[in-house]
Amino acid sequence: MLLAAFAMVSALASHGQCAQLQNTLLLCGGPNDCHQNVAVNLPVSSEYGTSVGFFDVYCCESTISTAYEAGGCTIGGEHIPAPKLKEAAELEPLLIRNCSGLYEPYLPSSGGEFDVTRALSSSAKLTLN
Amino acid sequence: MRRFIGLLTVFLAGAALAQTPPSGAAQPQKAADGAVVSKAEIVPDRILHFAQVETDPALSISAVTSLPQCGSDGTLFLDMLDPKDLRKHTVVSIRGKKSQTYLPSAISDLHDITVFSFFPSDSMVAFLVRGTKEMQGTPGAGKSPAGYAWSGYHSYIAEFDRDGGYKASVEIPANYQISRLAILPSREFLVAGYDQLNSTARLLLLGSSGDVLRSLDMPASRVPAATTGPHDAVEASKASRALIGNLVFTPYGQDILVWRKGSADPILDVGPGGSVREVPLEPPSGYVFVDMVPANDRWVAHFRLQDAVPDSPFNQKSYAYYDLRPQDASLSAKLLISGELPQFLACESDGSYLTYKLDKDGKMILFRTN
Repeated sequence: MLLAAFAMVSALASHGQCAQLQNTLLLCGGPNDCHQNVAVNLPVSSEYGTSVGFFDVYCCESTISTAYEAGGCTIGGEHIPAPKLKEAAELEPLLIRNCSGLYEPYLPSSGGEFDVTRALSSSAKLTLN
Repeated sequence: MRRFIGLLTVFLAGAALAQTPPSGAAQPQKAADGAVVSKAEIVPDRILHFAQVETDPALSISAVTSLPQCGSDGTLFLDMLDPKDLRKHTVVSIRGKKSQTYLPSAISDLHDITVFSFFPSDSMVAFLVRGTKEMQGTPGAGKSPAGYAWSGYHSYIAEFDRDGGYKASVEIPANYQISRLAILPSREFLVAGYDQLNSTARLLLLGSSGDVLRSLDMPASRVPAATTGPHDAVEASKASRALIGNLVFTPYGQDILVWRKGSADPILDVGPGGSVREVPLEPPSGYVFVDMVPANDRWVAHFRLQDAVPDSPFNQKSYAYYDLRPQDASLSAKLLISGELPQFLACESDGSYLTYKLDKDGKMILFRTN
């Protein structure tokens, strides 16, 4: 059964990212009556598996940080979207690995894309419920 | 004599008509700088004369805020962010010398909160947040770094009364990650976010208890994502999240205007009960659309010269504000800010425009037209 589920999710797998960033349009104010719009990305603290880096953007003579996908979740991994994960999880309990390297049962409410192939191929860490 | 006057009147009227092109006709003309412009784009200038408004002298404003919002009575609302940590929010409302703060830290029934946006209505100020009602434990497998179970995190609308007191939170169905919020007068919510079950962007009308009443059609979502390879699902997911990130809600009277940053999409005018009207936007020749200004009896749009650097500081050379007719988004007046003031409009209320600047100590100096 596990092999069947593995075959199914592998067939559905595709490369991708697992960081969700909050895109926000900000208004900067500053010296010399400066006003400008700047779009920035912020990490969402409650998002599962977020892996991001930061760089500075210009904002009316000061700088603010914007986040980008650091790619920690994509190294050698295969990812599938949440709806397909949900289908797989309905067949049997599914263990997934997050960006911190932790393995845990997949819960549809967690959302996002996960490193399923790695989790399933690392049998030493698989503990089905 | 009476007959002569009658003939003269007919002659003059005929001559006047001969010189007036049909309404809306695009007759090429030479502008002052020699550029050929369309007759349909010639709109009158409206010079805005601002006068300083007395404000709370103790009020300090962050140099970084979200886009301003305005109440129907002309109250200015700013979501101030800490420039060193943009996840720290404080909303302040300003009307003359009276100001009021709304603090996400007062949301007592939710933990580990991320603030996505806020919206003021006549009766409340609401924050859109993601957080949990779970009990805190020790960090580990299945837990967030703060020690809460990942499975307990959801999107909520946290409601405050206009006096700054926290009232309650409304939970949004778990399969939506919501990042934009507006309140309709019937106390329905308009939200935009990511539908995790279907991996797509959604514009939703929610009831007052957070239940999904219906999904609204977005012009941008009709453009299919590029499908060129085996990784389409993930690419479509990224495209959907990018689309949501660029959506902005701007109040116009009792309606909400939905527009997309950096796009030529039509403006979506969402009215009471979720009625939807799609209005194509035609920027002045040589300009591109930048943003909409909160207003209550007209549309006010901000444009930038096509060749100017995007996201550069606003100035009169590269940017221009226009009043638009809400029925068809046609240009009705070009707005010129008079005097040594920032080339920036925060909002409009009953024909009066509001702007502000910060002094070197971060104190707000507020200006309003009469």
